Amino acid sequence: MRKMKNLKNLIVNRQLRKKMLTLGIMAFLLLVVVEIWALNRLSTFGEQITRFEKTSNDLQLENQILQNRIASLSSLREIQNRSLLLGFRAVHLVDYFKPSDVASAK
Amino acid sequence: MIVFRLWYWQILSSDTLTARAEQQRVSSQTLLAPRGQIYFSDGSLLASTEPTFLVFAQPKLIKNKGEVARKLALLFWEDRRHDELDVDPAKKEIQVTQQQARIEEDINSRLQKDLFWVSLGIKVSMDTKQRIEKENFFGIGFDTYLTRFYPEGSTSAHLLGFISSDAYGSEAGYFGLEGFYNGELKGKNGLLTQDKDAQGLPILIGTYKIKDAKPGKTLLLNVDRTIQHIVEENLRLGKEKYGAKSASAIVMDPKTGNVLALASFPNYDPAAPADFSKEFFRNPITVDSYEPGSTFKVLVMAAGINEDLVQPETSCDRCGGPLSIGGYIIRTWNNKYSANLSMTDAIIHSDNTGMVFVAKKLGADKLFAYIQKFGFGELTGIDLQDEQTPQLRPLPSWKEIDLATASFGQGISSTALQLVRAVAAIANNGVMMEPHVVHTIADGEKVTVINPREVSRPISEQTAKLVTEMMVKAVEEGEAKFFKPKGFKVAGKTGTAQIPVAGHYDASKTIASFIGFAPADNPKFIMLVRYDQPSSSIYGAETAAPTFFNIAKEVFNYYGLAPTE
Repeated sequence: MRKMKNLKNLIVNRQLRKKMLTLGIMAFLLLVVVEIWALNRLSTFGEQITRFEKTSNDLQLENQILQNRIASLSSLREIQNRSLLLGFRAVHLVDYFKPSDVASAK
Repeated sequence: MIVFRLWYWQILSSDTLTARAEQQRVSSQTLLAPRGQIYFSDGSLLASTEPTFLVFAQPKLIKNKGEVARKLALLFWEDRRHDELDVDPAKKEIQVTQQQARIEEDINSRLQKDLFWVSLGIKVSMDTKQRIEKENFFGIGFDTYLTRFYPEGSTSAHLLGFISSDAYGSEAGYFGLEGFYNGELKGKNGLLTQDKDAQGLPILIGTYKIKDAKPGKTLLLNVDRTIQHIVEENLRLGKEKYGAKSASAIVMDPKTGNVLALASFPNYDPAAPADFSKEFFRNPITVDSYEPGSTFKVLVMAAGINEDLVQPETSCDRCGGPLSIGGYIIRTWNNKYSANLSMTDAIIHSDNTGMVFVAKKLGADKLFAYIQKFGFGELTGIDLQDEQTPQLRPLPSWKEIDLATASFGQGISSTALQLVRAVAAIANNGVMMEPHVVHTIADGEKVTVINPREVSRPISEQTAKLVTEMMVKAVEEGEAKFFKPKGFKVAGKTGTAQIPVAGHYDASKTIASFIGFAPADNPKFIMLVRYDQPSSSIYGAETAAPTFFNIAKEVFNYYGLAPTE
């Protein structure tokens, strides 16, 4: 009776080990497939990353160039030249009103 | 055999093969750190960085070299400045064709070389780079460089300094702010190390190490953009009008020592320093020493009053004619003399005999001590590279004639900056401040403010007030009274110093100057204008003074200062 029970347990354990082994192999194969898929995906990302980096870099450089252009166009020399072209002249004589000159102060 | 081969590769040659593999796939790229920006006091840009490109070619990859050279020549030509072109359209067309042909020939000769890499052009703009990219040339590439950019053009050269390569080929600042603050302005380049595939594309699962670039620190100046512009415009016009060999001016806040403007002509283009010879780089304000002449008289008078040896109304009992000292004859500039000359009149009429009277009362010991107290013979400590100071002649070697000539600013040397700092002590109730160009140094969130620094108190507040009044009278009643703007109280003094040439003074060659501050009761600025060898007139009252007052009038308007008288 006892021998029969041991044999039964042995058979159950063997089946369990077989199942575990099968599951392990399947998990391993799945991981390999996932890794191959991931590697495949990532290897093609290099081109995209390069493109993004180049775009980002170009945008930063262009931003700097535009900031410089704003600074150039708002420089006093530029403003003076454009003002002269538009007919503006520098004010050299400024009249200041004293409180006594203002009607309301009298 | 297989096992042996594997053992050889895996064990014996492991290090060598690993290194070779890494060399093939690991790529290192320098991340450029931009140089720090420089701003005027109002926050507008004075110096920035601009990306430019080096265009290179790999000749072995290019097949249609002639076609590439022709197209690139056209784009390169459009990228360059063409100031020298003729106005006549026919001649202009010929010039353009010739210039383009020269560029094409140059590119073609480079492409024909048996090399893997050749440079075709430097400092190419972003716009041109994009146009070249659109042509889809095979074997043409770009390297990015950050070059200095000056939105206000080539102004403020002596203030800024310039960027050039050092002995190791690295970028470094020279002269002015770029030189003095080179350590702060230069950033630290970063490094990106990553695995790349055969096409040069990054392998994302491989090595990736990044050390970020650290940009240079930002400088915010005390220099006021508007005042700088006013000074430059007037000085440039003045130099032409008076036919001066050179011209320089500095404007400072006497209460803080903040430099509001600094300009000199002739100057150079900081964007193209290689186009100028070395003598252009020297800042005449901080480097050139000269005999200050009559502008120095106010300091000698301040010493006499401070020692209680003379008062503004003290009369000179030996000023009725020329003075004979040590075999030399001391005369006034116009050979006119006044028997009972007051000290105020000595300043108003810039009388040399009156100043000799003060110097004799002081004696060489005290005069020398005051010259040192006013900071002559020592650096001012301004934050501009390459400041220099002439040495004072040692006191034991002073003779009676030296004491006499020093009283009217001859036989003694100073830089323009030293003189401005000393006279600023009179404007600032007797307290002398350290001149400073930079107000703030910003490093990201960390901000360092440079506070005004008191150097010393050479004279008392009372003396400063008395000398200020004498200087106000010198403006109102002196030789330059016709140029003074009405209603404003300006304290000032003219200076006409003869230039020593081969052991004697040449009367026809002078340094004409005017120093003054305004409003005299509560000064907002002190200014020195100096012309070297003006040809229209040798006198400071007829050259430097008009320029001083032209600038002062515009500064009054800018500050919104109303006349008080």
